[in-house]
Amino acid sequence: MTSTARTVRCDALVIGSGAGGSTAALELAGAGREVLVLEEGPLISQARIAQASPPENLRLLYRQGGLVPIHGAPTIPFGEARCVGGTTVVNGGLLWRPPDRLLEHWASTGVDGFRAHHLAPHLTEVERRLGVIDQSPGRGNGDSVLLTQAADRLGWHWAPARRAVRGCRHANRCVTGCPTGAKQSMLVSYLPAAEQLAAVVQPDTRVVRLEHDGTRVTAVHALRGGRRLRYLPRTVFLAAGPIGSALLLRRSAIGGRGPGRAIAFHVNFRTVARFSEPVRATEGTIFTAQLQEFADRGVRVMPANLTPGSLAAALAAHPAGTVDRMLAQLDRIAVYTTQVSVRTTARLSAVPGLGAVLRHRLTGGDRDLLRSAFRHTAELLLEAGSVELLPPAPTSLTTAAQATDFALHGRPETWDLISVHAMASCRMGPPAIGGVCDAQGRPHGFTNLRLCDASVLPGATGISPQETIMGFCRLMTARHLEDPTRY
Amino acid sequence: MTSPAIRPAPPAADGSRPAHEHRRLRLWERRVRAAGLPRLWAGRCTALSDPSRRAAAIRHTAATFAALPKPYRFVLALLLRLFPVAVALTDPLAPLRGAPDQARLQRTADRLSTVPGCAELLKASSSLALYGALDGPTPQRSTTRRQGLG
Repeated sequence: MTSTARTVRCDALVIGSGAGGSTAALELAGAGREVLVLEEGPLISQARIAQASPPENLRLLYRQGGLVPIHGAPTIPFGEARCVGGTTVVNGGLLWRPPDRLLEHWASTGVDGFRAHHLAPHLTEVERRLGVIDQSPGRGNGDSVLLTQAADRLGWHWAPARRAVRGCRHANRCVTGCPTGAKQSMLVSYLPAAEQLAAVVQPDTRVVRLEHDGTRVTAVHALRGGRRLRYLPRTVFLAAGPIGSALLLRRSAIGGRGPGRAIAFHVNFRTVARFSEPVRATEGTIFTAQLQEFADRGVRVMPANLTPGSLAAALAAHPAGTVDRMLAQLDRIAVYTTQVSVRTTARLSAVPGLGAVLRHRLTGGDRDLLRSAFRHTAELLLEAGSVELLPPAPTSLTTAAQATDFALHGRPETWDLISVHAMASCRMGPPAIGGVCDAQGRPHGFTNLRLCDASVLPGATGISPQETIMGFCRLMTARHLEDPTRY
Repeated sequence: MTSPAIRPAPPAADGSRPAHEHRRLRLWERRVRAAGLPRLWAGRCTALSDPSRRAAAIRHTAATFAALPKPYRFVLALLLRLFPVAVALTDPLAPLRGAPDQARLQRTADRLSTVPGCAELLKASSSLALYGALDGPTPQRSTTRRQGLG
């Protein structure tokens, strides 16, 4: 590392290139602002994603190869990307509108200005630009078709998947980077559009500290290839993600102990279902239908991408022989994800050498909710014709009675849980109720620093949060551009 | 006011791997092999008996471990050093019995799954290994058909 830092003056500095940062970058560039986007991760081109195998992409695109732990019982791996385009490169490309009731609830907690009618034009524009459609099943989405048929028989509500795709070819690699470029991640949509408007995206640049005087950020310190860089921006848009943004505020002594103190997150568990007839789930896109009957309780069920490796990895803790037995019947296997919006929150500690250390403590209510979520999942899959279920613990269930027994007596603290959605780590709201930012994403007391990513959401969305993040960020950026002195 | 645009330098991921990264990867591959994990993975899934798949499994596991933050790497390196001791304690008569068969490997893995530390290492490494082996590049000498994966 050199001893002197190179100084770069800039107008609008966007830290992070995921859903929030890219939205802000495009809107700012479209309004004629000079935009510089700093991304900690590398630029992995679409061609490179297509060429590499899924395990290579996992290592290239994800932070710590997908092994960021949220410590607790159980330890939950948290998957987020670390590349240009952020997590939009590795998610399912799902864009669900935030429910009106959720927005009203947030408004009632003191976060006004983000009701359905405020967000509607922004969500519409995001959907138009990304080509959001109801995803139709391909040849290999028998798992989704089975889900819809079973839900219909049970009288349960389901909805078609709303996805940002243009000509999905069902390559079945959504979560390790779409090899065809059909998924409209920020890498192939917003960022190229922003670059056409003269925005500059600089990868491999890790921001380490925001220098400030208590009301304004005066300099942004970063590292790039061992070189120190010092940026002098007029305005900073912080979009380093729910973990990264909170960590950076902590390191910079902004917001006191608020950032990262209560991170909302969803947990997922997978249920492997074996059917007596071929499902061919390896030939479809991530999913085309989602069970929403229990959405009010924070539970959603949907199929997952199925590959031999992901199936085997999911069964690594099951008794010996299980993996071989399931792989031998791969065309009859489907894997279903149950997403649960838990009430507990994760807490972030900034540890030198490790970065963010995350901890959670599932409550008794969360464990009950997980058991209940499994019971609904099992009922759905048995109705769909599954002859064997492998739950998120090393056992096998072949009857409804066994599934019910597992749901009643299972110990979620020993289950294989994962998380891919974290948010609200620097939530909007009055300081008295734990809010870190005002309704413009500015940490209380700051004027030229704005958070514009999942960290500012007032709470858990209960849905895949990408569209909510983009809607919030577009609205906040538009308000700022309309009246920079007020907003 | 704005500085001239700074175009991104070609990222290492698109080009050749720096020499120190290559050395670090080799070091972690050696650690994973020396711990005896690949034999236990094969006990979980017969496809990992195939040398090319096993190599892919080791590569993915080692590369993932090598990319973790330093404190995690330190703990992992320690666990990998101690792992053969745990294996020996689990199956003390192993040297007298010759090469382990599939059933014995499975029993050993099942026993290790109850030992704190070893259980986590075995589970995490098995997940990585299985994913790396089965979803990685198609091996040149494939046993896909024989293993019923096709």
